[in-house]
Amino acid sequence: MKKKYLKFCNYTSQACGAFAVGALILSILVIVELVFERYFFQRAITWQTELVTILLVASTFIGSAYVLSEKAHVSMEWIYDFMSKKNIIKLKIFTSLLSLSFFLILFYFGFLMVEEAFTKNYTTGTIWDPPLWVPYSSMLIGSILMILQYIAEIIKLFDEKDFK
Amino acid sequence: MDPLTIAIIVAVFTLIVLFSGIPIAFGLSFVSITLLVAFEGLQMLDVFAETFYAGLNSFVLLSIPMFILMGMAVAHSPAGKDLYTGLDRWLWRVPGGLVISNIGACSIFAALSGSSPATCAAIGTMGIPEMRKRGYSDEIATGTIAAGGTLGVLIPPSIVLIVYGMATGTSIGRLFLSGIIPGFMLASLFAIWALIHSYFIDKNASKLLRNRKPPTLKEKFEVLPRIFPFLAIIVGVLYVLYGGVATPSEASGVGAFLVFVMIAVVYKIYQPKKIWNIVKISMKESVMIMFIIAASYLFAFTLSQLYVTQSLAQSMIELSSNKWMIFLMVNVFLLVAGFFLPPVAVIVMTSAILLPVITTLGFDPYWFAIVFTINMEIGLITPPVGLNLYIIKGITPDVSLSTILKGSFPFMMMMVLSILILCIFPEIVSWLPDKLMGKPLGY
Repeated sequence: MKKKYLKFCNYTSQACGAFAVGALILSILVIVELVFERYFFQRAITWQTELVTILLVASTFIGSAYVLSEKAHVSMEWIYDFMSKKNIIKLKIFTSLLSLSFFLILFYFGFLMVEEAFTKNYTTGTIWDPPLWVPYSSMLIGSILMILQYIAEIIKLFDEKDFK
Repeated sequence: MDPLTIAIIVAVFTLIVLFSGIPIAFGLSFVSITLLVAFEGLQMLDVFAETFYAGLNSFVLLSIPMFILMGMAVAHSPAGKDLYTGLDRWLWRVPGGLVISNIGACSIFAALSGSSPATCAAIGTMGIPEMRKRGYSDEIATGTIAAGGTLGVLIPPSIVLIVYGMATGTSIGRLFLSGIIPGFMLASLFAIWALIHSYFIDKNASKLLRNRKPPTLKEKFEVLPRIFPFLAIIVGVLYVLYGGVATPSEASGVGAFLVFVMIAVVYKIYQPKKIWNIVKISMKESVMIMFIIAASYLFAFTLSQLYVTQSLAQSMIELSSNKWMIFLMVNVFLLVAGFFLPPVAVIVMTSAILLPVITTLGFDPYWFAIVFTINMEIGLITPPVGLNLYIIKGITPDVSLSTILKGSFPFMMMMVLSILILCIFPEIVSWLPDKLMGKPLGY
């Protein structure tokens, strides 16, 4: 069960990474198209900036789980130099729980945002005017992924040899 | 409660949480939520998710991943090596020439990349082993790259200046122009220190240099065609930016695209797997930075909700009647904040406090942006979160952190000196933008 869960989280975080990379590559192409269209054809920009912004937000929220699994979120680990291995793991479990609580709150209020935008048919109110729940849901999905990933990280910390 | 008392509670609480080793982005978010609920009640949670989302929902921020991509793409091609060999072959006669080549390579690379760690990694990977092999001491070899890397955030494009522009509502194009001359001035100051070092302190290196075979003219010229495409991209991006073709975000996207075309044509790097990996590494850095920005927005929102921002700004102005005295304190404050937090976080969190102070005292916000950035550069090469130090430690695991610090200390002094020079001659910052864009409106 535990193994299956860790494997599942590993798989999803890889998928998140792939999504974020894809979103960035797509953004580059859309921007090039935008500049081309305006500079050479003098056409007005309608959907490009908005789409790219949505992609950027999505790649940040969804890519974050991958970045967490790679331990690439910057932190001040200075204090670890003065602690025993066991205490470091204890502290890491504690700070992971703090982060987890943040993402649980973000998940709940993110859900409310998506729900409100969906049921009331909110749109972004621009020329392109996509429904607002689409960009909002990236924060919701991102927080779900972060919750799953943090649970996996905490399981891994409990399993470490130095902790037992 | 008195806002200043709250400010002290906020500062202590934030430091304790961040020192626990929690990722800075999540630590700041956690602190913000806790403070909001503690001081304002549970109903504040209703706006928090929207504030967090709004922190990221901006087209301007797109330039961050794009300029990182530009830098990473060049860093993962042999371009850095060519740039470096080229400068070395042309500067071989100068004592300390190799050190100066490294600084030069860092500043040219900085013009392609908005990120300081990327600059460090790109030039350091070849530069440090080469300098050590040719008899330069570990200190100067690592210190040069640590300091040279910080030029990445001063010489445009610069992520730090983009975030400053966004947080303060100043023109990013103008900020970029403001950074050019101070950036090259700082690079020259670094080079001067390298000269002093090799003439008076590390005499062995210059002796070794005399025994070296000079490069032939053919060698000197054969590297040029491989460097020119990248200089062309720099010029191209500058043209797109200042020729009125596109905004900074659009220019960054086009720049990233051009760099990928360039490495495909010049270095035959077009295999989907390689491209994918370059984007993946850039994505890791940009997601990390973007999350810190969102968290810092939430933190800044919290500070302003608790009335800390306004009262701190007010009491800073009232503290002294001498504007330079206050400026000095602002600098010390930024320096200390830079020790503990990444540059983008410091900017988003403090600009609402500092900008009113600075403009009330009659300083130019563009000039202040450059001073701000140099302060942040110092933070990048000082522990505990000096990103550059860790990158260099990664390149040379056998050199101790204290050696790297010892090597970068004189360069840090050069940065302080450059702030002093900018205080005496503010025209160094404003001359170029005034010349090209006219005097700024407002402020």
